[in-house]
Amino acid sequence: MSTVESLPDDERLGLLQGTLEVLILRSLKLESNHAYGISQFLQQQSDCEFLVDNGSLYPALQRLLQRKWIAGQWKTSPNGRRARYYSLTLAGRKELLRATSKWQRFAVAMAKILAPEG
Amino acid sequence: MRRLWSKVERTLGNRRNLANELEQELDAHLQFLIDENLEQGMSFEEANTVARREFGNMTVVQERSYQSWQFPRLESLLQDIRYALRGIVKAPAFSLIVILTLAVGIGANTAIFSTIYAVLLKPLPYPAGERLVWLGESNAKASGISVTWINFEHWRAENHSFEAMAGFQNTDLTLTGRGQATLTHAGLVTNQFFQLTGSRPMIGRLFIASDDKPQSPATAVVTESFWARMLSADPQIIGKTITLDGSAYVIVGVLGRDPGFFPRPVDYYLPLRPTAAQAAKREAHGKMRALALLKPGVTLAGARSDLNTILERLAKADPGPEDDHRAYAEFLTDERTGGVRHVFALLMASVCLVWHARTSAVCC
Repeated sequence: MSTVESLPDDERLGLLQGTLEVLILRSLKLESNHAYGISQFLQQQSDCEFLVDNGSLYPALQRLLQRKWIAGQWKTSPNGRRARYYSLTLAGRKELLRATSKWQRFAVAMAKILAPEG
Repeated sequence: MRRLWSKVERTLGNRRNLANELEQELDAHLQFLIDENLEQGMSFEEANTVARREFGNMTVVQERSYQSWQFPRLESLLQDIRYALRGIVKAPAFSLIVILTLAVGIGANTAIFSTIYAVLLKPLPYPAGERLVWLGESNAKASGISVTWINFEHWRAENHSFEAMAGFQNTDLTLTGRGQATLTHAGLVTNQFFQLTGSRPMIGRLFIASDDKPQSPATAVVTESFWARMLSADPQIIGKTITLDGSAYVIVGVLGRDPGFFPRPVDYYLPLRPTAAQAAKREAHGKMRALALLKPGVTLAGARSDLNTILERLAKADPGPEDDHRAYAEFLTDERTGGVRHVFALLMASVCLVWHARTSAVCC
C-alpha cells in the first residue's frame, strides 16, 4: 500500500454525502471487484485525494445491494484468495448514467462559482 | 400465526447469513492487506498488526453495515428477551414472587375493570340506547315519582322532543289453568315499548296502538323462555289464552329476544291501560314511568322544558292539586348507574394505585 502513504491522512479529502455510492458504481463499470479492490481503485483514480474509510465503504455496499444496483458473488481472486466480487446490475448501470450527469453538472456549477473572477 | 413466525425466522435466518457473509468478506479484505504487507517483507506478525491498523475498527464497520439493513431494533429486542429469560432461570424464587405479584395485580385490575365495563361502560343493548330517556314526575319533595296517565297521554301526543314514548311498570300475577298455580312476573307496557327496545316477534306480533285501548280485548306477548317453560313451546300458541289473576289474556306473539329492560326478568308483557280513576283524574298516580327516545340533536334540558310547558298548559286548563309537578328526565344509562358511578370510580382509582405500588415495588 505504498501509494496510500503518499499523503498524510488528515490532508486528504473527505467524501461528500452521497458521492461514495456513485463512485463505487463507477469503479464497477468495467469489471467486477471486491471491497478492497474498490477502495484501492478509488484511491488511485483520485490520486489519493479521497480517503475511503472502510466504515463508510461497507455500509455503502450494503445500501447498493439493498437497492439492487449491484450484486455480490464469491469468486477466487488472481492471488488465490476467496473474495466477494461485486458487479453492476442493469438498474445499477442506469443509476450510474443518471448520477454521473448530475455530479458533472454539480462539479461544473461549483467550479464556476468558486473560480477566481477574471 | 405459524406463517408469521416462519417469516420472522426466515428474516432472522437471512440476517444470520448476512452477518456471516459480511464477516467472511471483512476477513478476506484483511487477508489482502496482510498479503500485501508480507510482500513488502514484513514478518507475519507485523504484517497482521499493520493490516488491522490500516483496516480500521472492524466492529464499527460491521455494526454500521448491519444498520443499513434496519434490523438492529428487533435484534436488541430479542437480546432483551434472552437476557430476561436468563434472569428468570437464574433466580427462580425471586422470579416466582415477582410473577405472582404481577399476576395478582393484573387479575385485580381486570376483575374491577370487567365489572366497571358491564355496569358503566357497556352500551345499552337497544338501538340508539344512548338517546333513551327515563321519564317521571318531580315535586318539591321527591323526584322521579310515577307519571299519571293523563299527563303521559299529553306528553306523548304534544311533545316536540321525542321520536317515541312508552309507559311501563311491572307487577306480579298468578297464572292458573296450566298445572299448578304459579306466581308470574308481568311487564305492563304501552305499544311503543317494543319499538324503543328494538324487540322483534319470533311468532305472531307485538303490541300495536289498538292494544293500548281499554275497550280492546286483553292480549299478551310472552317471552321465549316462558313460552318454552310454561306453554310447552307450543307452535300453535297464537290465539290461545292464559289465565292471570282470574282474567283471560289472548296470546298474540312470542318475543324473539327479551329486551331485559326490567331489572327483574319478566315472563310476559301485557298492555298497560289506565284504571277508570286514572283515565278520569289528572293526579291519579299509579306505578307507571315512561321510556322515550330523544330526537337527534335535542338536549335533555330542551326536552325537560318541552314537557314542562305541556304540564303548565294542563295546569292552566285543568287546575288541580299537582300543578307544581314538573317533568323528571334522565338518560337511561345515567338513571341506571347514577348511584354506583362514584363508588366504581373510587374502586378503579384505588386498584390502579395498588397496581402502581406493586409495579414500582417489583421494579426497584
